[in-house]
Amino acid sequence: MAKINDILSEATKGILTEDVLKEIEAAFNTSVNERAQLHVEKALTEQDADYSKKLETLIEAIDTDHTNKLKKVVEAIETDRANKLKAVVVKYEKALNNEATSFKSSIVNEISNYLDLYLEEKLPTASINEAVKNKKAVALLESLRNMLSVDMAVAKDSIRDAIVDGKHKLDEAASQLEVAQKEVAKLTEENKKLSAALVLEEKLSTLQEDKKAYVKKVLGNKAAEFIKENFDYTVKLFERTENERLATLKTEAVAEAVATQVDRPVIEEKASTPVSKESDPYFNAYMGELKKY
Amino acid sequence: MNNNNINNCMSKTKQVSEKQDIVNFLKAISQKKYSEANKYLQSAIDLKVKSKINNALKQNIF
Repeated sequence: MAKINDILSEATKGILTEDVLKEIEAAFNTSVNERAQLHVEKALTEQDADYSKKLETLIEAIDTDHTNKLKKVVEAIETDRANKLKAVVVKYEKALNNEATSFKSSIVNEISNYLDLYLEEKLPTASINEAVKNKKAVALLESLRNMLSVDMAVAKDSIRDAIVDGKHKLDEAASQLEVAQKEVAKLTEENKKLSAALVLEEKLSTLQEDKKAYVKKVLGNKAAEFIKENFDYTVKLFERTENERLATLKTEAVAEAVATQVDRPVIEEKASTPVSKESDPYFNAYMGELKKY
Repeated sequence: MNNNNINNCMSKTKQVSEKQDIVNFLKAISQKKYSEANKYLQSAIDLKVKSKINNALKQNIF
């Protein structure tokens, strides 16, 4: 870059001296410097203002951003702490309740155990057992006395022996009574049989031998009352049977006599049909009467 | 069988009642109601003595 001195010396073609040129140069430089400084200051001022605005905007933006971020952070922290605090509260409440419950039950048990120990010391179980046994024994003895009707008089040895002796005698009498009752029953049975036999013999004494045998066979093992009631009937039954038999024999004899008067002997063959007991009216009547007894 | 069940139920009821008496005793003590505390303590001790007597009664004398 060409200096101002060179330019002026060329323009003036050496009219201006070196000193003037130096002064001009100095003045020019000063003026230029002043103006440059003014421009610089102006530019700096403008730059400051611009930068100030930008900085303010930036700071505001940063503030806003930081504020938002901080709000979010604070909210997040608050939420987190609140949750943690809630968890802590729940945990401690639970722990407190459980511990309180267990403490309550443990202290109740401990007091109960202490009372047990105190009672055991002051009122031993052995003593209680002994007292209860005594009480039970007294009650049992009393009930036994009532049950056995034993009072103080009976509790004496002499009276007790007498009672025992009396009991033995009562037992013996009871056994003797039992034997006697058995003998009485046996004798009564024999008496019945004998009286029946006697009645039968009395009634049979007037009868013929065949009737006697028949009636004895029929009524031999019956009771006396039965014999008295049915003796006549049995005898009548025998007589009817005997009459029937005689009538049959008579008919047969007549038939044989008629047959001997004819020249030619006639032989009649009869199929003798066995007379069944069920078709016999006397048999049924007799059995019917006997079935009543 | 039924008697055993009834005895067990009665025993449990007595234990519950005894513990309730002790709880009430502690409550009364904490509230400085000493008259009530005395009443509950006496009731608890009575139940304990009755329980001991009942146990003794279950034993045969022979």
